[in-house]
Amino acid sequence: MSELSPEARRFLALEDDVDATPADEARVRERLEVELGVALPVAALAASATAHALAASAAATSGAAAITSAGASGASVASAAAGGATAATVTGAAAVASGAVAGGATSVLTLVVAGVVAVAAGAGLTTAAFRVTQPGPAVAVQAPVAASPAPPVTKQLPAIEVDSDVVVQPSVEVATSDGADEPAAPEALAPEAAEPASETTAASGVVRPAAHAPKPVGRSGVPSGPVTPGVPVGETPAPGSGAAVADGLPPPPLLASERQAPALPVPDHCDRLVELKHIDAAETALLGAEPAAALAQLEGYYRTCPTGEWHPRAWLIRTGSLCSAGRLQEAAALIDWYESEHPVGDELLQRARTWCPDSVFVRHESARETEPAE
Amino acid sequence: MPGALQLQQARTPPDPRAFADLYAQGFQGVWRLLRRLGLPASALDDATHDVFVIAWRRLGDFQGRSALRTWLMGIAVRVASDYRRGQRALEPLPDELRSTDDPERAAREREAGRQVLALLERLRPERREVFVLMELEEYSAPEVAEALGLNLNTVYTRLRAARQDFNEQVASLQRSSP
Repeated sequence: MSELSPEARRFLALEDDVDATPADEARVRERLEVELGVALPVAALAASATAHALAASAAATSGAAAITSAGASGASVASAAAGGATAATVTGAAAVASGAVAGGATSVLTLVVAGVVAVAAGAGLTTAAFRVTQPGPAVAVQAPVAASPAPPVTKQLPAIEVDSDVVVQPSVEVATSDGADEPAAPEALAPEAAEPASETTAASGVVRPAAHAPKPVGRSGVPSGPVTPGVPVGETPAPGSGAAVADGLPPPPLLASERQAPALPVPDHCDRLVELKHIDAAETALLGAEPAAALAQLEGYYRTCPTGEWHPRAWLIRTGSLCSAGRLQEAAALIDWYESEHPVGDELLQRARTWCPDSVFVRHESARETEPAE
Repeated sequence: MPGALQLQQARTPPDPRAFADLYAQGFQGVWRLLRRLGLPASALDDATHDVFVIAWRRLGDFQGRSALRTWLMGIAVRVASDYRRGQRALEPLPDELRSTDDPERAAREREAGRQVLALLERLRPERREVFVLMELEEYSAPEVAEALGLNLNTVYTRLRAARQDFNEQVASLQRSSP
């Protein structure tokens, strides 16, 4: 076989700078994260896999590695060493977000479809539960039970409609974790709220914001299921522990209403790592065939990060969890809501098909087909 | 994007952890390969994104018959091929991608780097793919055959032809240089 001439080889050696810059990588990564709903680590920009592997041990010992992302699994940590000469992948999520859990801090966020929104100013809401009682004209969020309760700030949210045929269960009391066994919270998280939560209730039902409202969902007899206490971030209920989950999750339309009310304060501790830890734990549970645990994690996520960036991903996990748990009617309602928000469909909607049977989508697809084209 | 991107969703749900690792370790290689396969700088974002979207969709069905890296590069080659059908122009690398303390040397290297890419652009696409994968990316012939779905002999044939073309182009360039 003919070989490359020495001149050609020298010429080829001049070819360089075809590698991506960190800015290039960041652009692509962020786009993928949004579109696929997957948390990605910063990619290794090292020149070779060998350097990549060598750097892993070096970075682990030198402490030079910068944790750049927990990744979807929290499994990858890429070093951000100057010059891009090293990069490391270290397995294990614990290093990423350990200590990112607000230990001992518990508040109760009670959601009541009744009247007024009362939000505790300055109170760190780390775990909470929701109560959805009767359909009413507005959403009320009452907060919280805290050691040093701040005077609640009352804010009116746009009215939220509740499907008339949604079955709303009477209040169910659950115990919430007071986080007593959790590690001490880092300063990144709210330190207050030492008292255990007193009461939380939940019920199933899709609450629709008026803006998107009203295709009737037609979900009668939706089982409410047991309610899960607040699960510490990153933990899943032990099988058989009785900590089943259920409808304590805030329904997606509430999230839409939150977007309509941007003044709703976002807890300071809801940064990207905290979000990723919630999402990762939920996803891990779902992939581990523990949909109830996944829903429990999402419950904590929605409370901690009511306006988080990962709500689309959370939607997917929640939908998948409901399908995996056989709660297809609830999944269908979620899909219905999501499609109303994303009428042209997207990647997440397609991915929901990997978890949910086609029958869940049939109603929506047939409805689209009958809609007049614009 | 057309054609190859219209892939069905894998029946097996993708594992986000595996995908995250694949991205972390494969991004740079994909980017570099796409560049070497002739995609202009302006298309690299989109093309790299497409490669990983396809990888995401198909990861659940990855059988492990080849190395994951080889599998990913196969996707990249096909994405590049799709892009090249619509975008033939080779853009020079933007200056901000290059930096050195010696401006004069940087200018020479920049020019040389452009010429390398320009010479690669003159190769037939199918030869270029094999040439880039083997001469620049240092894949083995069996790996290239696996990634591109080619017979091993075809790989060697294309490589031989590509080398010959490249040698001739370099010689021609040297003759024409002052």
